[in-house]
Amino acid sequence: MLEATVSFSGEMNIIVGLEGSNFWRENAGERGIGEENGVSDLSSLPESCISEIISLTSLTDACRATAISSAFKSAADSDTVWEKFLPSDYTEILSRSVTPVVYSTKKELYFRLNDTPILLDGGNLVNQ
Amino acid sequence: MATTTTETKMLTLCTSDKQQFQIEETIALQAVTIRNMVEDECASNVIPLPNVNSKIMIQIIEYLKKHVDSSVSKEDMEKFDSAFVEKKLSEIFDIILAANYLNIKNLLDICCQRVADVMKNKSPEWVRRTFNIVNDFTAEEEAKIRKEHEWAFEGVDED
Repeated sequence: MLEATVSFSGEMNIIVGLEGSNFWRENAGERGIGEENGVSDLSSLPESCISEIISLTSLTDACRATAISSAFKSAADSDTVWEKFLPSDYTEILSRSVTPVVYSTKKELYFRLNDTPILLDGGNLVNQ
Repeated sequence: MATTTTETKMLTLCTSDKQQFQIEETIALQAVTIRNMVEDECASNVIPLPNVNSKIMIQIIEYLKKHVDSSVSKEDMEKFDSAFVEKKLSEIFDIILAANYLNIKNLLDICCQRVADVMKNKSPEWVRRTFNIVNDFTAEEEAKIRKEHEWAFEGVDED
């Protein structure tokens, strides 16, 4: 924990501006960050960040997150999230499929591959 | 005996609350947004960062200073990172916003992981309550969504 406190005095000068640091406090208040009870406003983050967070949970968490709110549903269903859950070589697998695999989102592709096997390499192999 | 007189190049960053931070260029360039500004020569003496306030900037500089130091072992860096994210979630969100804007991938990753770890195995109700999220679904919409992935709602942590 000690390492986290770094001294800035030598190489860095902080020049205090005219307005001081009220800007941050006012905005923090407006955004409803409750310091006392630790409640925080996750909705203030852009969708890409919420997707990034959800992609670091698990597949089950990502499916459950769709029920939180419409913003979360959109983030949890995004390709950013489902790209992480697909096998890393999925494009290669798809290129070897006998019939083209049609999908509009990565989530749809995930469940498509999960639910129905596809024939690979001229029909000699079936993906598991 | 040759004496090294290489001057450390400094950059001045100006935060949203008009505070100025003078830091070594090598430290600041870890932020891709700042690096692009410097490379495109659209940065003059002072780089304005209207999306970052000074309180968050101080913490980001602390992180960047540690990560520029190549003498720090991988193990010590991991220790630093896990201690760094031991903050209130409201602060973590502000750092995520800033790291996203400044494009500091590692910092964004460790902060997102911190939030992900909090959310894991929690019910939607718990997440809404903890993070002040308004449920904007109608009862019918929510029931439909839950039905789509019924299995995902079993065995979550007690609220």
